[in-house]
Amino acid sequence: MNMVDNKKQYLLLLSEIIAKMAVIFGSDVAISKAQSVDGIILDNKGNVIEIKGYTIDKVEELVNNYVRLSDVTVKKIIDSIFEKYPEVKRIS
Amino acid sequence: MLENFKEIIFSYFTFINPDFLAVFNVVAISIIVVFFVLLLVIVYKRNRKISKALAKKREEEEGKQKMYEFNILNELSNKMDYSLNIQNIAESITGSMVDFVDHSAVFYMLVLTEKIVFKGNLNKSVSRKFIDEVKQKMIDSLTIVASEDFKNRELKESIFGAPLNEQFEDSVGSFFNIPLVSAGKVVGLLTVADTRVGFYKGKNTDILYKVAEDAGQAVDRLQALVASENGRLNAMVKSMTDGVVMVDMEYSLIVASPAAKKAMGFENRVNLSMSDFINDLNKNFDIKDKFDESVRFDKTFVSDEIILPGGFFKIIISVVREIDKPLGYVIVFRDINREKEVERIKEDFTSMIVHELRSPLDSIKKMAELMRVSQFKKDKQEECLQMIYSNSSDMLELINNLLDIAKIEAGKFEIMKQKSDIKKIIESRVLFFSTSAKDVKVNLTSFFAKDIPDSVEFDPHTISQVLNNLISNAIKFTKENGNVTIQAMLHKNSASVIEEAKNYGINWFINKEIAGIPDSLFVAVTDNGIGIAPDQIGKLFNKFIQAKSTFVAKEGTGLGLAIIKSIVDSHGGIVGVESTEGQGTTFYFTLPIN
Repeated sequence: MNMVDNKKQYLLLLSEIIAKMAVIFGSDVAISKAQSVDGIILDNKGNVIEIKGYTIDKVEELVNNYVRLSDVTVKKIIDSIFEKYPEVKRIS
Repeated sequence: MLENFKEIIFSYFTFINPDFLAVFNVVAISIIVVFFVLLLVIVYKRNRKISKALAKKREEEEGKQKMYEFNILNELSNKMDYSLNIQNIAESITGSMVDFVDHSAVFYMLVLTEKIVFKGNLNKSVSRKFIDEVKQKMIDSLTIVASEDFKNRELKESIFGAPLNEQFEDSVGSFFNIPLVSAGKVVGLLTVADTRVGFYKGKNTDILYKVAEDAGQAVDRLQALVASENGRLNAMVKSMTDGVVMVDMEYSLIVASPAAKKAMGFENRVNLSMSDFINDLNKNFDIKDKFDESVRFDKTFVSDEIILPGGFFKIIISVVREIDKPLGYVIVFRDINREKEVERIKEDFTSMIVHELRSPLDSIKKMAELMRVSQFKKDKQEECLQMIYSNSSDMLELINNLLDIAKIEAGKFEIMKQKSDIKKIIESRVLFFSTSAKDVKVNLTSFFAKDIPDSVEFDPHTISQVLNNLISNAIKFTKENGNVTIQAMLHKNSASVIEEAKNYGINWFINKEIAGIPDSLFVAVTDNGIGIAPDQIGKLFNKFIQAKSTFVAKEGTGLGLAIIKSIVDSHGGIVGVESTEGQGTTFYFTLPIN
């Protein structure tokens, strides 16, 4: 997988995480948490259009923001989302 | 330009004395150094002051946040009153939400075993559409987090607070969900919603998630404490013979003992719920109705006899209360199978005794009527008298047996031990039964091992009674030309009964080793009659149960063997039987010699 494909995968992954979290927590909270991560740029629908900085760090920061809300709820869902993107590096 | 500037400077300095210039350079450099040092100190101090101020501000903010968090938790914990129920927690948080964040309405949804509870507290008037939208959003969220489809689950809705506004069709503008977690599992959701669009964007709602998480953990800690107590309670419940089922007021099954599952035939049912009990019991009575009655009238309900898959039961329903508040129900399945069986056996026994008394009495009556007729032949008179004698003897024997049983039951059956010779008693009994044995063409013999002592302490009267019963039974159940043998030997403690018999040349039907017999006289009555079926042997020594024989006509009351057992028990001996169906039977008893 080349660099462009890899970046696209991360954009899709982050967008799916935010979309799922919007259903679980509500879109206001889900988008606020995503916007608080410096380097994640969203469009007005909550899709991630750009990631600035080290991608894995940004994914980890975003997931941690949601985990802080409810770790039991989020960890289970995040695992199932990551399973759909086997090429991207999993966060611990 | 630069050249001109150099020239001016040079002409200036060449005009001044060189010594003065050197001193001036040193002073100037020193001033510059001091200036920079001072500047650095000022900048350093200023930065330090700013850092300190920022740290102080951060600490203050953190402190303020912590204090805010503490206040909320404290307030909620006071309201929760150490509640073990996640629903109470949800109630407390929704009730207090108005103090923490502005909203149109706050809701909670809890997934219970039987149904989903959806409750809303309206802070402002909202439309029905608004509530339905929130409900759907909550179900969507729960469906993801619980990985379960709740579409077909019964939903119990209740809405409180401001009245519904049916004039407008306002929608949910913004909302946020807070998962309610207990025991590492999402059990529900708390939702704060508003008609204003994007109202919660950027709002600090983290504190509410923290509150819900802390409250869930507090419940878990308390539940862990209670679980250890419940463990003991469950162990107790499991060991109970009667089945026990406990449910809360929402009909969620808390505990169902193995005996209760067995009563209902639910031993292998997975995911057992109260619905299973309600549906299956519905064939007999409406248990929900009885629950309501128990609460309303504050009384324990006791059902009539009910036939369940596990047999006969009585169902007892009680309300569990904490002071005046009902917490749930206890359903006890009282197993009355044993009582029913005893009742049946006693009824059978009474019928049998009545029959046994009526038959000979009827014969006596008929004989007497016959003898009253004037033409009655003199030569038949002797025969009739013999029959009257025989039948009245049978009746007397039965009545004596009944009296003995009554004495045994009352603990008044006494034995009078004295030095006695078992050989003489056996010989006397053989002589007594020789005539009746001869009549039915049965060969009656006895055998005594050489080392049997002449004198052993036992009650000769009751042991004669034991022998009478065993010998008469053996003759009764032996076919023509059969043999009945009374054998006696001395058994030594820890020796093999079978080996001892072999050494004495005794033949019988005892094939299993009998352990734990002390030094004793071992007396056996063996016949080569019809034998006894293995499933009937266990019933032989029960006074109320009569073992079945293939010769129905020869059945007795069975009381004799129960009396024998009591007599031998009173001597400290054992009584037993071994049989090979179709070949013969050996009844035996022991009399300890020390």
